Amino acid sequence: MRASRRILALFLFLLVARGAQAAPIAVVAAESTYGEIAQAIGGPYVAVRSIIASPRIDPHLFEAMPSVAVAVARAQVVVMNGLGYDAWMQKLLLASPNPRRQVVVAADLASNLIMSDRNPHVFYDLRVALITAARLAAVFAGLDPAHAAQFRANLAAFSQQLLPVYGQIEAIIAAHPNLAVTGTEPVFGYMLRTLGYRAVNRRVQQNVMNDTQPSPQEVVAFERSLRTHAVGLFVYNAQVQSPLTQRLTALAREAHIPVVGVAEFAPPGLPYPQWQLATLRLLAAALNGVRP
Amino acid sequence: MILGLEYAFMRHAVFAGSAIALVSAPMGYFVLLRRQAFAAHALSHVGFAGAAGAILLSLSPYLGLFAFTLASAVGLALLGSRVGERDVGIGMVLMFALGLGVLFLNLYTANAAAAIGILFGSIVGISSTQMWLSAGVALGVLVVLALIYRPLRLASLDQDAARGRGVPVGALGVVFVLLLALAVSISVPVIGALLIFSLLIGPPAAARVLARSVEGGLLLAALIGLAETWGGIAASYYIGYPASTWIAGISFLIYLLAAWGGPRLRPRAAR
Repeated sequence: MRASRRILALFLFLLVARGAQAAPIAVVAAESTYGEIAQAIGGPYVAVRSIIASPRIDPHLFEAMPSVAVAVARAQVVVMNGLGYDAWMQKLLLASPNPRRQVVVAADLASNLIMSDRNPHVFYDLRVALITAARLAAVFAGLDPAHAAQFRANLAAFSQQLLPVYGQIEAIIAAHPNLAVTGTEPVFGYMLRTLGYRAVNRRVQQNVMNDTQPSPQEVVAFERSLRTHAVGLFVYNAQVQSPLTQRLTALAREAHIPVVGVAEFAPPGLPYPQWQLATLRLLAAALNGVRP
Repeated sequence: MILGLEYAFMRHAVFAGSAIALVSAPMGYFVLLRRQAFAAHALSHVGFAGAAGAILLSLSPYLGLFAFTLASAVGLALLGSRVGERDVGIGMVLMFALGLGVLFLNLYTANAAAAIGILFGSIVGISSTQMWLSAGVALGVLVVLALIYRPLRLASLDQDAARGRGVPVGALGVVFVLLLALAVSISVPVIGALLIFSLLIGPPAAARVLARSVEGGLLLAALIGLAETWGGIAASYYIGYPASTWIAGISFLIYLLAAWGGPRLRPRAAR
């Protein structure tokens, strides 16, 4: 037993020692959105593990297990959202102190872009994504200087791929300017800001996000805004649903208000720009009255 | 290395978990002797409300935990000692505190993930500060418990006899609930407010079935608690699934085995 463990330890040591020269940079992303960005920048020179990648998980309520903590302890680079969105990652980082590990926190990099209500869903701001990508390119270049030019080229390609997303945003603004928007959660807030749309019924949305009850007055005001067509768009969180959000979504559909579902993070394997573009195309289709 | 102890987070988990198991066993044993399980349950949930409030004010959750549990411990101790009226009082305190907890969550403008995390604990996310705080508080509680052990044992087994011998039963009760508040406060962020019984009640309950004396019961409860903590962390590390689930499951299983096998092993077990 002991001998076999020693052999295993030796094997692991050799693996690590060998890896110091050739292995890709070990990156852990709290959510697949950031994992996709890291993969786009690092290409084959990074090994990315996205912790929250299943659309069935509510990232606000995720609790980490030892296998996740091990991945964080071994990571050279950790990329996360911040603003309490992935508080569990903050705990894991404190539990495994490592001065050489580089931590990239999207919300901290873009602190001037944070909404005044500290809405944590910063990944729906394309600028935050680009700032995070640029920071990752610099971090990767520091860890693997031999491929620095490649990381710079990947960053340039990433920013190029965002241009069609901006194009789609401009098309939506031109066709449907200045809408009042409500929804089940503030998840889409940053994109609505980019579109110049006004978010209403924010209190209800925050309470749904935090799993507490909105007050009856707030729900009444919310329902009235749907029935009287005071809002021109209804956004629901496709990932986190409850009887209340389902009822409100049904109400919006009955009132023939355009309804669009958005996700908390990119489906694994779908690059960030394509994910944003797909979401905006759904939005445009809903606003143009095309039922999916 | 065994149990992933080469990782700082596993060392923190095992060390803090052990400290909490060691303080929970004797405290829980007295909780059972004194029939105060409901008070322990209430304190953990009151602690959740306190932590939620502290996080709302951008303070350390521990500040809220200690403040809320100690304050309600004083309240509980003053509510009277007869079981009937005591339980009503605990229910009232619990109700009020949880009402505040919902309000705190409601007031969050950002998001409440940190507060929700308190409900289920986070055994793999323990910082070194948190570990030393848990160990220090656990040690302090154990020292005070050792100092008041003899009178507390008498007062817990036979209140009237203790009174007859001049033991300050009321004051002891207050000190005990304060100690319980401290023990609960360090357990909640680690094992979770909802799962506190897996170390506070599970091990002492099994030990009480098996042991003949209070001293033997305390020792056995500590051993069972440690075994559950290490077993739960190991299972979570090697197999997966949250450690809290494993600890609660093992705790339940050991109690079932003790309750089934104990009377057969020792027909005249001390009750």
